[in-house]
Amino acid sequence: MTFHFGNPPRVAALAAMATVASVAVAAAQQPAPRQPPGPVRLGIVSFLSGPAASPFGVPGRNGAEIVIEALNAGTAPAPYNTVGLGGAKIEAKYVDEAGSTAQVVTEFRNLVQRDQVDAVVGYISSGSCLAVTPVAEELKALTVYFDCGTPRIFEETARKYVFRASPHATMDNVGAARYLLAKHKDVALYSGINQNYAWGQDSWRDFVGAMKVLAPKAAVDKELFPKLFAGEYGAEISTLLTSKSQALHTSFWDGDLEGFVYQGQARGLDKRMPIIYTTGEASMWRLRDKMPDDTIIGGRGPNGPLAPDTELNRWFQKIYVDRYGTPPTYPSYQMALSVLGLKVAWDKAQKAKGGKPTTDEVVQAFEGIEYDGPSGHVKLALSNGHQGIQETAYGTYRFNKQTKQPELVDVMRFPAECVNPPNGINADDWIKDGMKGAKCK
Amino acid sequence: MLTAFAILTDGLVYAAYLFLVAVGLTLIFGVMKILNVTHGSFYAFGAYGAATAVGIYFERGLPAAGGFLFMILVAMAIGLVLGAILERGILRFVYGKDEVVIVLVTYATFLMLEDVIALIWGRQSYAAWQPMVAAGSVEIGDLVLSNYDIVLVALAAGVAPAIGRSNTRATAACSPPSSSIARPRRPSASTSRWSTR
Repeated sequence: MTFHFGNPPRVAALAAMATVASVAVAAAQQPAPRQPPGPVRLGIVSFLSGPAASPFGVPGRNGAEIVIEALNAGTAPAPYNTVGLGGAKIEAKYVDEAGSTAQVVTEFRNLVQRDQVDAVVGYISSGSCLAVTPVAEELKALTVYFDCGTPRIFEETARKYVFRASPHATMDNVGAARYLLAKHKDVALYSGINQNYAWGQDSWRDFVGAMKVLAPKAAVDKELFPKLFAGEYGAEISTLLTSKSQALHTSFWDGDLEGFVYQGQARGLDKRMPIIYTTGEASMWRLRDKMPDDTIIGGRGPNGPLAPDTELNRWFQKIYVDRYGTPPTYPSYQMALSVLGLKVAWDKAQKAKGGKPTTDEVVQAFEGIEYDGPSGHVKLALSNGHQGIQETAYGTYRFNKQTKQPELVDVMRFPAECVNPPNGINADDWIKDGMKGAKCK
Repeated sequence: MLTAFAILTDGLVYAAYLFLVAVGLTLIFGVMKILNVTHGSFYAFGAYGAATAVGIYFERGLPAAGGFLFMILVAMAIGLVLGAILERGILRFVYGKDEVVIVLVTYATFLMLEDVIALIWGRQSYAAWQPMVAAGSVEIGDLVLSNYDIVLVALAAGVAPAIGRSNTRATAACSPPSSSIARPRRPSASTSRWSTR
């Protein structure tokens, strides 16, 4: 067949065909034109009702909301200034954690099986985390815990689909003991008042364990375990006032913490002995000048006023205050850390593959990552790269009468390896064995 | 010795708390023969209202003494309004009905009011700490006692005999069955009613 170039309409037709063909070839060879990829669906679980909603659940949810919004808009600071997860916008579904453990598990199944979420980020109660873990493994559902503290999640058996960027609760109490002894070297007798359930019991056990290692001569005086939400602590305050204790440890939170602060203050307990509140940071913005000066405050890690002064932290504080009118507390920081961790893993998996990664690919990318969040550097160093460690910090409370704002002074930072067990060793065993291998510099 | 004294005072203070919280329940039951399951909501409304009012009052730097009065007045006003609404709106329709009906009705009201409280005050805790701090404390050896708690015990000790007397009078006044006061069915009547079903 020969072409007759003298026929203009034919030439035009051929040219048109060639153009179409070349476009088709180009389309086949090059990546598809930039269509927005389908959304990544996340389930965000947190207490939205009940007593844990106001101090932890809602700040956690709010942290997720603003970070997800910023990621979707691509307005977060570097290195998080790319859109959503791997370029796909995030669609979040918020679920209430309140209810029985069975309900929590049912809701988790609903998220994974009915709503087909790509990952679940959530859970405050250690009971929820312990119950959800085997189900997440069974359903092969990527799950990132943001606040629950129990070290048992990864210590009972190795996990594949479950991650926790926020450090577990052992760090809080080892840090508390180190801070107390750094500021009050001569403590010979100390007491504890903790709620009578897993959180209070574990916190006290870790604190006593750490004190035994760090100050073997200091003895336990009163071990008080009022029931959860007791609200009235007259008898406990009398016991402490008539004791010879030189320091008091408590992992009380929210209403119980506030009730104890008020009642203790009315009877001068804070004048008798330094009191360590391991979760005090979450309540200090509400208590303001009612929190006695010189109280020792922890924030479950370097969160809130204990967070390092970085661009990421300033950005997070600003967007949170602008939206909610109150500073972010530690649950907000832990949520931000967890969502950003998922982004780091997701983007890494996507980059390696070139398209939307599978759950297994994200899991593989997640293991052992190191990144920075608003609360500083985190390293998923424990439990085969599934459990994060961070430095921790404690400070002493002061209400600044000039600025009328709460402040933490005498802040001491403890490196991650100083307050966390090494990989492969259970937290409880590590403390009992004298916290061997702790690197405090 | 000090420990024994601490145990005694703590016991008295706690008993006074419980007594003052429960006194309305026994008063209503004594006078009106209504087992008011909504009592918990009345207590919660009064507590939230008083805590809020006290917060506003003390925030303005007004004298502490007035704060105590204001707190009591606000709690009473809430009780008055809520009590009138409950009595006129619900309870008057069930007078004379079986005790079980009254218990169910007041229980249902309690469930509704629980959500009304969440609607008004949210899910967070409120504390009326200012009166307790303003009242000061006394030191007995190493033990520091809050004056507020001591007054509470005295108040309970004063209220108890008064309530006892008023209950006795109310019972005496209501004793004739022909009393014009609308009252729920007496136990014997309700028993016979149950047995006929």
